[in-house]
Amino acid sequence: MPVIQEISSDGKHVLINIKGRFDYKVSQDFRDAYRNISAHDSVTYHVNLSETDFMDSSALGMLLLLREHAKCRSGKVIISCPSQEVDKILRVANFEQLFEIVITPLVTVGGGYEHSSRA
Amino acid sequence: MSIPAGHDSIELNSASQRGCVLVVETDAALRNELDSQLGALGFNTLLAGSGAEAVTLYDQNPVDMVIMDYVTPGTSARNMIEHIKADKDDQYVPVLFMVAQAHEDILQECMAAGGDDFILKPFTPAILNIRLANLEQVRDLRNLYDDMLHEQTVASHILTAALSARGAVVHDMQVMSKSADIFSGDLVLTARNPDGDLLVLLADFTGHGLTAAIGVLPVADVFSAMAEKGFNPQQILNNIHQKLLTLLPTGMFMAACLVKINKDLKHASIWNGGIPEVLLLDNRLGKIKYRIPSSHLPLGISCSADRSFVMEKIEINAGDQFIMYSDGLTDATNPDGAMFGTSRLDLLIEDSASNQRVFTAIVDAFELFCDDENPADDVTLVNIPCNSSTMLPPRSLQDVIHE
Repeated sequence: MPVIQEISSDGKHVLINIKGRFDYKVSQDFRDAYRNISAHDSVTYHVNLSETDFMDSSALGMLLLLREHAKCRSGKVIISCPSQEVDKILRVANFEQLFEIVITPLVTVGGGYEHSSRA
Repeated sequence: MSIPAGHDSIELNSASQRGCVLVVETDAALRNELDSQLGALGFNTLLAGSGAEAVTLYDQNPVDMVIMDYVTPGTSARNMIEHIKADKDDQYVPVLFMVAQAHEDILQECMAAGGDDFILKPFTPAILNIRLANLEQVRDLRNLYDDMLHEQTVASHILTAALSARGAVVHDMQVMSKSADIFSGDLVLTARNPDGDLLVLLADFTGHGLTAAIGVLPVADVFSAMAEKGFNPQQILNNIHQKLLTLLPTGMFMAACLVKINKDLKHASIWNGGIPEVLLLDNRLGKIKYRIPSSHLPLGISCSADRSFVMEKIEINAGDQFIMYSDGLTDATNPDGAMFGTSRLDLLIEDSASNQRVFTAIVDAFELFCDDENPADDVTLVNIPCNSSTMLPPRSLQDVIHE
């Protein structure tokens, strides 16, 4: 499965991990990863791109849809660990103006996730 | 019911709804049994006792499906099917083979001959019906798909004609465009403002195909109308952005880059939102003199922050040249899975800038790299030489390589 989803035990964090190519072929899986979960407000969606090696413009579109989804539920989206290649694609689109992009890996803390202080 | 094989054997049952099946079977008893089974299932039938007979019947009647025995004397099965598949205005006519044994060799030969499915003898009417219903579904989908392709091709021609009627003709400008689909979501627009400055917009909609191309026409309308009336680039970009916000759903946007070359050939200004670096080449030195990276969000993305459409001003010299391209160029992969990439592009440019063959060098290298593979995304490359003939009113058609 190229799209893997995990929900923290406190239900406040959703981790979406995309392996390989992040393109139009995974749009259904990506949507399901945040839509098919019991409605919680103020959820933080972590999109982990550490194992993503390519991203096309429809993937950027999917991130915008997730952003809207989160916004409507007073949640937020954090993009983590993009590879150099993927980071370039995000920078060309200037998505750092729309998303928090972090380079530190996610670690499990208590019932949720946190970005470790290690870079 | 006993019907002799041949021309006069056409049995038309007015209650039939499922079209006409051509039955090719040497055994008369089996042929007649099939005839009554098919009639009961709602088909018209044409009955042939040999391949040659079948070809004649096929040529003289509208046939929707063919059921044939694997061993049919006369015209060989392969020839018969070749005839069927080559004919009928590209209509898809499924062929169902009846085989006595499910030997792999036999089945493979049926499929290799162009058969669409097989059925093992003997079979019940219920099993025959399941097989035929499946083939009907495939046929209907194929026909729908063909209709869609035809419609898209016509629509794409209309769109291309509508766009080329709007653009300003720019002498010496070169454009390479390749689309991943019938429709392209990449767009190159040109216009001259009342002061004689040249405006070139390169745009790339999310995705490709019809959904990507849907916004092309309204963008072209706003761009041409406003540029010709003398609105400044900021106003044009803002209006296109507002238009796209109302038109496009969340998740779709338009990366765009606008270059304005002043008539004096001393100044240019650029706005880049989501397009790869625009390059300005100094041809006398054979070098990339300036890179203009994307520093804005693409157009059509709703964002609470104020959008800036202020153009970056740069100085140019007569003889310089602008290279713009969509990410489909550098993201293109060859059959081995390698990317064309920006470093390859930079090298090509540095190598060919001094002899002013940059555009041709990139196009040739790209063709060679892709090796006839269709691009996965729309690809556009634009070369705008900043010289006096570029700035002149139209004299000849722009050099467009369109595939």
